Amino acid sequence: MILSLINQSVIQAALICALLLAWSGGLEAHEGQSERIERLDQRIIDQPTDPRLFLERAEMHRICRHWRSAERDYRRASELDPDLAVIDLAKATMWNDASMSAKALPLLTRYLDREPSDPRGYRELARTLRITGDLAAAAAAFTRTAELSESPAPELFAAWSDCLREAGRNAEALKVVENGIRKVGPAVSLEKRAIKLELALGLNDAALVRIDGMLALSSRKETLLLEKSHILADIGRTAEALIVVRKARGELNKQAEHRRLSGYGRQLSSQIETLETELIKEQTPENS
Amino acid sequence: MTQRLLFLSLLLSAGVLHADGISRGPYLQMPSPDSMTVCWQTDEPSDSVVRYGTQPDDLSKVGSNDDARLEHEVRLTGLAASTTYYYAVGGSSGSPTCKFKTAPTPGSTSPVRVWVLGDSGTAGTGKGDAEKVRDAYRNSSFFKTPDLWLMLGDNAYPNGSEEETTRAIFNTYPETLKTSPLWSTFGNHDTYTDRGAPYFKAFRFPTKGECGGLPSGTEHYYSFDYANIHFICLDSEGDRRSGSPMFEWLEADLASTSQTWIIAFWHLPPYSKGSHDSDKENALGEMRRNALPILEQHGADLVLSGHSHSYERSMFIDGHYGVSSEFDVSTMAVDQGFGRPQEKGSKGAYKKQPGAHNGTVYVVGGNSGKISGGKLNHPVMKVSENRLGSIILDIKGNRLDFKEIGTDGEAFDSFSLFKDERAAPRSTKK
Repeated sequence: MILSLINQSVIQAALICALLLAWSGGLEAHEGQSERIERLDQRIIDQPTDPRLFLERAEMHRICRHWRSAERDYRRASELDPDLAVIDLAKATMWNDASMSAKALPLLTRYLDREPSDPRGYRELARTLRITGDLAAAAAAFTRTAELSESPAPELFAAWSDCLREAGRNAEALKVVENGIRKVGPAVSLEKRAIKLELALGLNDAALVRIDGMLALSSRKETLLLEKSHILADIGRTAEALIVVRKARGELNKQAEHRRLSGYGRQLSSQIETLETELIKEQTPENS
Repeated sequence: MTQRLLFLSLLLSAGVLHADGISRGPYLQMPSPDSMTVCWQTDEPSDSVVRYGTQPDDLSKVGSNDDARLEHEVRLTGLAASTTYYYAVGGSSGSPTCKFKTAPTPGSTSPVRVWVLGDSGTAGTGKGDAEKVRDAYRNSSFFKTPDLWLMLGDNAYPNGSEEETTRAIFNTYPETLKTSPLWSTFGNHDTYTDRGAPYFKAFRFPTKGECGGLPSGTEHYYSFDYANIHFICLDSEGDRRSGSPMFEWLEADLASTSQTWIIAFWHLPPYSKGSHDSDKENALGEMRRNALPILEQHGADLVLSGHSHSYERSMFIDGHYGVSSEFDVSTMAVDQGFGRPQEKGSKGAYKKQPGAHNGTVYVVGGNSGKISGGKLNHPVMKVSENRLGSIILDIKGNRLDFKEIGTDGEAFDSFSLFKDERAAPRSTKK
C-alpha cells in the first residue's frame, strides 16, 4: 500500500516538476493581447521552427483583427508543419471573421477531409455556408455538428433553426428547436424561437401551451402575459386577449416601484395600455 | 524504508497527497433555499456519499450517488432555508465535518455577505499576491464567513488547465470552499485549455433555473437568487453580438425578476483604463454597447468585472455606451460623489429612486492576484488604484455597502447604495 502510494507520489511529484517548468514560462501569459503577441515574438526568435508558436501568434492576431499578420503566421505555421490540419480551421475562421467567407470554404473542405469527426469543423462550415447563402448545405453541416457534439449549446440549435427558417423550412426549424430543448432544457432563447415558429406554422394552441409553460417558470408574469394576449389578439380571440392583458396590468401593478417605474416597466406599461385600448375598441362592436 | 516514509510524509505535508484520498474539496455549489450541491474529487474512484444533519454530532442523513467515480457531486435536497447544516463527504476515512448555510428564501431581507475575487489565478505560483489578498480578508476586522463568493474569471493562470485549477482554486481557498458556495464567470485564460473543459468540469452552474432566474440552457451564462438579490453571470468570452441567445435570455431573465437588487458580473470590463483599454479592445466595447443598455433599462444596481489587473470603481452613472471621450458627466452621472455616507464634504450614500435609468455602479476588480498598472484615467471612474485587493458586499434590505479591502486589511474604497423602497416586492414563489 505504502509502495503504491509512493509510486503515485513520485508520479505526482514529477507532474508537479513539469508544471513548475511550464509555469516559469507560462506565467508570463498573464497579460493583455498586445503583450502576449510581443512575448510570442520573442519566443519565435528563440524557436523559429516551432509551428505551434506561429499558430498561437496567428490566433492572437486574428482575435485582434490583424488580418495580414494572422495570415502570414498561419502560412508560416503550415510551411513548418504541413500535417497540422487545425491551421486550415483556424484560417477559415479568420476569413469568416474578416467577412471573406468564400475563402474559408476550400480550407474547411480540406480540414474535414483530414478531421472528419471534429464538430468545430462542421460548425465553422455551417457558419460559412450560411453567410454565403447556401442554406441547404449549411443546414446539413449543422446537423453533422449536432451529431458530433458531446454537449451542444443553445447557440447551436438557435443558429441551426434560424438557418432553416431563413430557408423557409419552418417545420424542420421547429423540430430542431424542440430537439434542442430536449437536450439543454427549456432555454429561453429556444422557447422563444419555438413560439415564433409555431405561430408561423399556425400551431397557435401549441404556442399558447408553450407560453403557459414559460409563465410557470417565471416569478414575474406581466411580460409573458402581454405576449400571450398579443398572440390571442392576433388569432382573433379578442375577449380572452382582453382578460389576459388586464392580468398583465394587474401583475405589473403588484411590482415594487423600482421595477414598475424602471425604463422597462414604463415601456411595458405603455404597451399594455396600447393593447388594452385596441382590444376594447375591437370588442365594442361585438358587444353593441 | 525510513527514507521512503520521510518522502511520503513530505508529500503529505506539502499537500501533494491527501490522507483522506480527497484531491479537491469538498466544495459547495448551486445553493438554494432548499438544496445545496456538495462536490469533491478523489484520487481513486469511489462512491459519492455525503452524511449531513443540523447538529455536528448527528450526521444521520445521507445523500449519495452509487457509481464509483473521481468527480463527486451530490445534490442535497429537502433542506430548510437559512439553516446551518453540518456535513462530511466520503466514507469512514472521508473529510472532517464541515458546515454550510442554505440560502434565504427569495425576497428575504436578511443580511448577506458576498466576497468577490477577480483574476486571482496566480495563486499558488510562489509570488504570493493572491494569498496576501486572501489572508488580508481573513485577518481583517471586516472578516465574516461569506454567504457566497464570486470569482470574476481568470481563476487559474496561465491556461486554466486541470492542474492550474487545482492549484489556484482548490489548494488556495480550501476553507472558504467548504463553507461558502462559489459562483464564477468564465475568463479568457479559463478558455485556453480545451475551450474551458477543466473550468466546466470543476463547477456546477444552473442551466434550468434551479436557483431562481430563467433557464439559459448553458453553464456559460446563468442567474440565481439569494435573499433579495438577483445575480446575473454573463459570458464575455462567448457570442457578444446584440440579439445573441445570451442577450435574448438576459432580457427575458431581467423581465422575470422581482428581486430588490440586481447584480451582474462577467470578466471583460465595459469601462477600464487599466491593463486593458475599453476604448481599444472591441470585446470590451461589445459588452458595453450590448449588455449595459439592457441592464440599465431593467434597473441593474452593480456590475462587477475583472480582466484589468487594477481596481477601478465608477461614480453612479447611466447611459454611457460609447468610448470614454463621449462620457458627459453632466448628463450621465446620476451622482458624481463617492457615495460614502459618513464622509465630510460628500453628498453621502448613493440613493436610487424608483424610475427609469437611475444609476448603476461599475467596478473592475481584477486585482486579486496581480496588479498591472495602466493609465487608470477612465472618466467614469471615481476611484482608480493600482493595488491588490478583494471586494466585500454587505446587503441588508434596501441597503448595499461595498468595500474594497487591500492587503493591509483596510478598506481603501467604499460606497453605500440605498434604495427607496416604497412598495415591497410581492412573493417570488413560483
